[in-house]
Amino acid sequence: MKLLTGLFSLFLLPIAFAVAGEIPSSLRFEEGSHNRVSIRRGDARLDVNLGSGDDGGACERILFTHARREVAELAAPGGRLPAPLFAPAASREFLEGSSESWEKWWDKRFDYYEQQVTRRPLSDVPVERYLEDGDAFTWQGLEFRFLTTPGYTRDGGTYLATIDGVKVAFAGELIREGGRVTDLYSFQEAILEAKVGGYHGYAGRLSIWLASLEKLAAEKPDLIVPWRGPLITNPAVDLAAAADKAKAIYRNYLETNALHWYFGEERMSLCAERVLGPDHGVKGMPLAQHVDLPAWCRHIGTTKLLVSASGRGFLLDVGGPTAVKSIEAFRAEGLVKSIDGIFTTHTHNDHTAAIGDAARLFGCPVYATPEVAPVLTRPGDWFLPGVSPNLVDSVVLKKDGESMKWEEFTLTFRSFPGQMLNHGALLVEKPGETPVFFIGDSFSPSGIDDYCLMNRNLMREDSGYLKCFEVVAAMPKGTWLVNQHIPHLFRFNDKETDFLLSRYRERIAMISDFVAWDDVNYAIDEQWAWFFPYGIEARRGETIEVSMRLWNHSTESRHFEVTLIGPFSESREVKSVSLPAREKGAVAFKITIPVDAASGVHVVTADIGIEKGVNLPRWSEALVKVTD
Amino acid sequence: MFVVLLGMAANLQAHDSLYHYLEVSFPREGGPPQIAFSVHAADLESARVLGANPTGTDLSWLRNRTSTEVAPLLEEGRVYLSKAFSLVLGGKELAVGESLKFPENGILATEGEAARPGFLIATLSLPESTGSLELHYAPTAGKRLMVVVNRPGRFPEVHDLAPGETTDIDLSKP
Repeated sequence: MKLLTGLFSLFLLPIAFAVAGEIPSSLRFEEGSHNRVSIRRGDARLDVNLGSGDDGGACERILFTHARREVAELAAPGGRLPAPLFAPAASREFLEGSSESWEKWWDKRFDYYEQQVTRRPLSDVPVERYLEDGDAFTWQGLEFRFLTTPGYTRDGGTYLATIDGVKVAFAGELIREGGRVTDLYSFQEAILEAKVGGYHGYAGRLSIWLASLEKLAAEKPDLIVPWRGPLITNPAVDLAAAADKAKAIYRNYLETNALHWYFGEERMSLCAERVLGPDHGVKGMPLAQHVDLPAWCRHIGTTKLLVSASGRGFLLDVGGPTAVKSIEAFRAEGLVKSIDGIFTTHTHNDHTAAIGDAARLFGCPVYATPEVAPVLTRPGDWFLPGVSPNLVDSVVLKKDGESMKWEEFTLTFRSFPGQMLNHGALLVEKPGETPVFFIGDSFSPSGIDDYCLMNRNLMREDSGYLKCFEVVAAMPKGTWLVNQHIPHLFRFNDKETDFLLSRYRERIAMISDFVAWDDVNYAIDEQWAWFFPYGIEARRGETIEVSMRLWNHSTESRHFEVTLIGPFSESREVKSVSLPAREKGAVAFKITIPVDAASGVHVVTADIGIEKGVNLPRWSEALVKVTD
Repeated sequence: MFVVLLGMAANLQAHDSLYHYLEVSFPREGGPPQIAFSVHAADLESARVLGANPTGTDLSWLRNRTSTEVAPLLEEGRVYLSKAFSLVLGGKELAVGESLKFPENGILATEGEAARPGFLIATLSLPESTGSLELHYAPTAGKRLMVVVNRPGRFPEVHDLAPGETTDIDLSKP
């Protein structure tokens, strides 16, 4: 059974390899969800990230390939190390200043658009030596050379050493066996050359990752030792395969992407060139038919104002105070008599930040679908891209497919997991006119708005863009689409829809082959396991409840084991749940805040275990802020 | 009426970079309209040298710049706008670069509600005219342009241009 291919499929087989001609005899390697790796020289031992467990020997040195939380907390629990640590110089930002960083994160998590994985260490780890590209050192007569190999993480590095005649590369998370990686969302990054920020930077670190692969390939290692999963015994083949897979995914992404509408071919070509080279030949889809908005729909920034024949108004999204002022000015000038309601398409702050203020000012209800409503009323419970901390007092929940009459219009509320999972849409039908489907930010005339890998664009038939295509296809023939940023109606013809959908399905297959899970959604959904609420304020002596919410993306039932860790004691609490294929579930924990707890932000983490030996230490976090 | 143009969501961070913005506003009390150009500071090379993120640069980043740091931003902004836009009125091209006025402190966007965070604002007063203003948007501009025309007592009129496109703005009806 392919549970988690490569990385997780071997279910923690504790093997000390000693294959003549391939594996150096002094290399100790225990394979699993995270590998344990040591080199023995007599009674002395050097560990790479997490050392081999059962072989004894006195640890004299530890090498970090990168500084994600799981590495640091396993090798140096609480920041305590058994031996001096060498680490990439680029890891310094993660290994130092932890307390301050988590304290700041309490506020920084809101309106957040850098889109980086948050698995940074919980405490500082003392480093004996930070290494720059090309640095060399010796241990027990072995010569090591350090290469910077960023890409999957910002700080990734590789250690090269010839051990017992075998040239070995300890490459961390750079690559996995079979030319795979652990996930795709880790690659999200700004593309400065093309003036593309982190939020729009789909797999923005692919170019430097490809350069890292080339750099390592040029060293011609005999063996690559990864952080996760099987040894890579044919490095040249796997390095080349990884590069080919990534390039195909990126080409597919660019050819179907919404950003062509905004940025044009020139800037998208810059993005393509970084990954695919100067002769990339990438072109976006020709722009779909687009025409002016009808007179009853007014475009104000990211807000759409629907105006009825009698002069009443209905808003879609309110992203900031100046939008509110504009609407107020329209009302004062008699352009609209009233605002009767506000529909929220999705939970990014440029669509929500002033909804609460607007609702209070205009005295109108706020409507949202079930995926959106709870984020508006309790934003601190969630960690999603660009969530505004501004509260909406109350929301009228509208189920998928529910309709209501407003003036001469029929409004039908839809769940629409397009640009992000927490996303809805509104079908507006006016007698005698072609229906208009307000789809938030989910498509532009050039394609799909899936540039942010943290937006949870699930690749499942029952969710994500596949679901959106299905919803649009079921609309009355000719239905126009409207994006909140774009002052046009637009629609895809059959040929364009077929192109986008077929290419998207191809990409799902490509990503499936590129990542190490049994289902692609674990690799594009950072929050398949996440704490709810994400941020909790509590007083000393108070008992709070946090739930680990799990989404079994697999197409078979799975048993999950959740181990709650901290933040106020070293004790661990374990709870488990079995989930049918594709289903969600949760396990709840209670945490009592000690009477002597320090004020400030404390971090709760959890190990996630999945049946058959998959163990993901310190995978998820929640924030507990102790207040006086 | 600047409120309307600049009222495009003060809290934008995710999507501010998707469009350039330009606003033509007719004064309520009459007289020729004024054009407000906006430039996302982080789109400028001199801002990038100072460490600005293309989409993460907000009001606080701009507010914390010294006047020495702001000076090259404004100069580059002036050059950028003169290259990105050409305006023709009555058959004569207006000198955009020379006519632009930045606020005294260089940053109008410090007043919270006055403009989108992280944007530099420059204004240009048009001469009296009852004709049509041709606005040409350079093919090399790098992103689409949203032109908003504010006329007293009317909803804003929106023109959405791709780089290289042109639009006409009727100046005869305030």
